[in-house]
Amino acid sequence: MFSILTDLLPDFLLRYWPALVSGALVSLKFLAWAIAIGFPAGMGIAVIQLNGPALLRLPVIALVEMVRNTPLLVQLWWIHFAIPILFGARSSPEVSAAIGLALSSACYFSENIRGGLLALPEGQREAATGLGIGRWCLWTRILLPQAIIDTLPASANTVLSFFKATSILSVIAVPELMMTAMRISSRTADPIGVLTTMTLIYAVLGGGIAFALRRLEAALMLRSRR
Amino acid sequence: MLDISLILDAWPELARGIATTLAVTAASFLGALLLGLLLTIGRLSRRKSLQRGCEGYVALFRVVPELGVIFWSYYCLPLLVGLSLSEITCGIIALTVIAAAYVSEIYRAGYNALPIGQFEAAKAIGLKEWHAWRLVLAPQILRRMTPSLINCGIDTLKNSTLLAAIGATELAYEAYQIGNTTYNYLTPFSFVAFVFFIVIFPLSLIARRRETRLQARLR
Repeated sequence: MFSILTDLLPDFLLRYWPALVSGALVSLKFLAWAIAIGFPAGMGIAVIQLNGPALLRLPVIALVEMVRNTPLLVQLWWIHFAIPILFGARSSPEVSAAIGLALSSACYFSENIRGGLLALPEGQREAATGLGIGRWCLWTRILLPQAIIDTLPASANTVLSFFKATSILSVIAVPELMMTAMRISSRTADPIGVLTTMTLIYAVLGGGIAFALRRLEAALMLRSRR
Repeated sequence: MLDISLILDAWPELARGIATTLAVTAASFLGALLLGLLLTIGRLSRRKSLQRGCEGYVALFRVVPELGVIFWSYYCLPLLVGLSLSEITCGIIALTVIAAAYVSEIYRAGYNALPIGQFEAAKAIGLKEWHAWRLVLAPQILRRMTPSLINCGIDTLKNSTLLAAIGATELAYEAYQIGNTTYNYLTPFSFVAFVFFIVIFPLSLIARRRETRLQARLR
């Protein structure tokens, strides 16, 4: 029974599946990092853009526009090669990737959240001030939760696009799924088999993430129905 | 450190890179406008198999990385069709196929927003069918779709840098080569970022402006 199954599977899969699994885990690890750092940072950036002191607001707006209007690959290269000049030490691909992804995702998430904040009725802020609610409480307990939930569909799209973007890390030699697959492909000289398998792995993982995000969206929207 | 003379010395390569990037983006985006139309027609068709196939296509390219499609089209496509294709050709095919899925989403949203009642009203006041489309429906739908289409074009332009990974001689690739020969990576990469910014930023401002105007009009 089992031998029939192994005969059906292509050779490279039997030999290299551990590498593919670990590559996929590295991809997911970087996605998790991009969300874990990028989302809270995006919240901060959005609030600064709308309500920060001008001295802080202008550089932050400039940064967000610079990141959102240039390709991620160029940013990653730039960061990877600029870090040694700024800090005098060579940067590992992982460190450059982590910095680049976090910076970029923060800017994209902040734009979603900012849109949500702008769409909230002005009266809420006035009412909160009238009730004597402090600024910290106003932002963290009243405005941000609503803005985040309202813009979940946009943020889900951002998550998916960063899931795809983790593949770009292969260009600066981070051993994630794409790079692993390219290595296996050149070693086995079977690009069609390996790259198609890789595409399927991405499709399954991405489909799973999209499904999970839809469930999360539905759950949060239901809880916050107003 | 930044060294402007490097840019001046390498200007022929960089100019060629800029031209290639723009040409690849334009070709891919135009291709996507057509392929996206076919996909949308397929998705609206009554034949279930065709409809499912086109829906599947759009769903697939929503989650498969752009770079994966580019590698696939560079390493697998020539083997499958038995032709030798250049890096640029493979790149254009990949970018077209990716953008078409998004374009199809935009077209379908536009189709769903068609005010059919207005079409009947236009005919009732004596407009010919063609005029009703051209004067009443098309302007509204185009206005609704332009911001998203501009954004899709911007994404295609950004994605074109990924072709550097298969050695297509677009701008990012040229910059990387200059970095490799001069050991000064910061200058060419800063230049590339600058070029993309001055092309993309105005476009995204136009898209944003049109979007806000559209929202105000729909409200």
